[in-house]
Amino acid sequence: MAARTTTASVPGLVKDLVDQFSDPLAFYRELIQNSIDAGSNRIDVVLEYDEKTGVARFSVEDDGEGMDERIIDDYFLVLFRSTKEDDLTKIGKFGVGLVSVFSLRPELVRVHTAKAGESWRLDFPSFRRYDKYRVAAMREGTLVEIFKKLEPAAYARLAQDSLKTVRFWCRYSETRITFQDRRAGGEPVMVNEPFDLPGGASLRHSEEGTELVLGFSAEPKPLFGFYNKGLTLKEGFHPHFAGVSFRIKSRYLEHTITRDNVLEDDNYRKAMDIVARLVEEKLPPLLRQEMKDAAGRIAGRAASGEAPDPALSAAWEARAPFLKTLFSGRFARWKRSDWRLFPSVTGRALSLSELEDALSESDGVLYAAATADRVASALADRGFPVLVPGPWMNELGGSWLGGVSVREASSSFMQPGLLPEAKLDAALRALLKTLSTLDAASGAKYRGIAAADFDYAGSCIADRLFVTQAEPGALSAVDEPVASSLFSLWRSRRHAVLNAGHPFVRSLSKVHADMPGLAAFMLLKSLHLHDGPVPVGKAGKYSNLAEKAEGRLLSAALKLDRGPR
Amino acid sequence: MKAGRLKPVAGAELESLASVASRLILAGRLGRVFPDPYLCSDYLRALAPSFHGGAHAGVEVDLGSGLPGMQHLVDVWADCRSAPDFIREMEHRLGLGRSLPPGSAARLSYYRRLVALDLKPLTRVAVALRRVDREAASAFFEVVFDRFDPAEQVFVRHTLMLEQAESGRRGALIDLAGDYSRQTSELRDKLEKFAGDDSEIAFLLMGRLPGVRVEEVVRARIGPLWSEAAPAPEGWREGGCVLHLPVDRASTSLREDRDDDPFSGIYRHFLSEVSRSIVEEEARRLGYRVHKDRKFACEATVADGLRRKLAEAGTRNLIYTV
Repeated sequence: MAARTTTASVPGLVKDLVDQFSDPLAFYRELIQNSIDAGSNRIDVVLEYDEKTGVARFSVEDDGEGMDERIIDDYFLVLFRSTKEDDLTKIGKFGVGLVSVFSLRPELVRVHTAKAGESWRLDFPSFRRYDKYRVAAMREGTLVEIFKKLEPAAYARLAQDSLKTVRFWCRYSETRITFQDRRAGGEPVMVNEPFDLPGGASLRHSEEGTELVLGFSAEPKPLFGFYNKGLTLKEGFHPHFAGVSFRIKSRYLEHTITRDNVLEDDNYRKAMDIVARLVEEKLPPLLRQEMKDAAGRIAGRAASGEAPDPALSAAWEARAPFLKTLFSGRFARWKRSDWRLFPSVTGRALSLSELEDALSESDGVLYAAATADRVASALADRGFPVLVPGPWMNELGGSWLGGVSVREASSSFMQPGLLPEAKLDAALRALLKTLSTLDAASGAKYRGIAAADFDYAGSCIADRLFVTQAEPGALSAVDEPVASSLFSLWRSRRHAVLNAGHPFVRSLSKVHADMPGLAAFMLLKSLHLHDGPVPVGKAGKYSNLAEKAEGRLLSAALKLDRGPR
Repeated sequence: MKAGRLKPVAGAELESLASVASRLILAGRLGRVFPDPYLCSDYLRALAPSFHGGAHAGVEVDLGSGLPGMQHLVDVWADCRSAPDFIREMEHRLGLGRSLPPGSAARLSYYRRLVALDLKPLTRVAVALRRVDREAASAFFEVVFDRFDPAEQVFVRHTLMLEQAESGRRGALIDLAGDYSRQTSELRDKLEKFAGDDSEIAFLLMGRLPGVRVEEVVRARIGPLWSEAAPAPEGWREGGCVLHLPVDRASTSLREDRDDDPFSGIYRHFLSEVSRSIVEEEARRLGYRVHKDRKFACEATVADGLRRKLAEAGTRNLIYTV
């Protein structure tokens, strides 16, 4: 049987303060905070709905220390008075938590609590008054019940919102929290989640009163979260540290009294100093390791011809903004230029200094190749920088390497695979022979004429009929400055390399069987027409040379087809 | 209740004991003054044959505490330490397509379950700075000392609220640098020495240390456990399992002594008149009073009988049932 001991108006519980809790479910956070501060190991949030009366019951029960009459009278019922002021092991400081339960405009708030052999019940019909009862039945901890008349649909909405609210504020709580909507049925669900970052943290740190998880982020405004004992104080997106997302639980952090922000006082600065220290001291070596691993794996896949793994590129990209901050500034690259972070097609990652050395070989051009194909491998063998394409190319092409030009290796260079005579079919072999004979007869415009495979992996010349090269089958630039062969002097002559797989070559090989002169004439004429541009201002001369060369070529071809007369 | 003889328990009996003990711990609504109930429960669960799959033989239950002897809990912790290496090695073998050595499959499953429990050592000292009083040149700390008591063979947590002046001096319990506190070997020594008995004794002894003012000492225990393996003493025997959850608190925040523990009295009340007056004087000087309490978690079948006995003993105690 409960004995009423006091009926009183609650001094100082003012409407303004009730109204400051704009979210009517903010009481969950306040009550759970009180429960954690009371030394609870478990907190149960339970919702019930009486279909007959239409009254909903929202309750928060803990197994904490509870309250005796002294604490109830001197602290619990007194606004702005807390037993926890300045205590770094407690979250609450202001002594306004109780008021929050009235923001739901309840019919009744009932608090059951006990400590030191005393059990108490407090009934609050409104925030203006309470009745206090000494209760005979023993109990432990504190149970707060909030009763409110609601339509069933409104209850259902509030129940859903309740779980969302409790999850948002309390999911990283160090105290176990369960939630149960008894009307919906089912077992209580655990609200707690591991303290982590989306995609996983790169660094976990704990020291007295503070626990941190930090990770790298590609977002211009990375995620941050401030918590005390795991209760959410503020979460959002802001570049506190470029390229770094973090969550921090700290004894130093607390809410403003309006609960919509973190109090930015000296203690806040202590917490942020811890984050800054870790960002400065611990993250760079981790970044180096993680980017090196990613770059190594990307390079390994490229070297072995495997398809790129987007997750690896994404992992690299997420770390790029932080790397950018490390590489920016006058002395920032000191001791960092040897970090092997850039995946090359050779299977290993290269450092900035290695890239700088390689760029001096490649005339300042950085090449990109998805796999270690013929051209990419040949370029790398020459000491040129050939990287797997990815987000690093933009960064390198920007300020990191001083504005280098980036080109695709396979479209910048070619390396047709010369086919040895033995591998050529008889028709083509015969055509080549006739071509050489006819070329010699018409002025020997080419040093030699060979057939090659143009259709190698990554080839940019697969559709071309022929190319001319200084050395047949060698690696050569696709855009070599070459003049028309009609202007070539003896020493500057080039080799003509025919695409053995080209349909025109195949068809002329067949024609060659009956009319070798015609077949060779047609092919050589094509070569002459397309083997290089006419130098500026020499169109007239070109016309004369072409007429002469064509005449000789035609004469030799006809001679061949008609036979000697 | 002191540690007593040992009784071997294995097989189905151990399975049942481990299961009921861990359930009773979780049913006891243990706040943070108690040893971590989830941790203690997990340690006991790990001793069940169904958990370790035969990795261990049975256990010896201490007849005084009704709980498995300390060496078995130490074994669990040792397994926990070696589990990651073992798992790595076996997974490497499996990855290479090699078969596991005989008996290793069961151990691998056991170790995986063990790692999932994320156990922590049972003996731990944690110091947290509560606040610093710059004017008085003193700092307030909370010290939590966990262990499995080797004498009583029960889980124990001591929570101390201390104020310490001039932390830089020689012999300080806690070194404070900025906001960071570091426990000294002196603190560990004192805890080991003073934490073997009632909170009041620890309060008195700590209170005599120079530069230290004690605000509160709480000792909370999980155990003893009455069960078939270690039955209740004569006069309390009801059958079924009963877990004791005693708390004793010496604190400057208490206004009077109170004893609701039917199995233990307030230290001062057992002293001779001469000694008692000396200790009473000391208690007044230090400004503390003592509360002793004991709650129980038991099987529902024995709750009524236990309630009756407690009423006869004249104490008010909470009983939780499973």
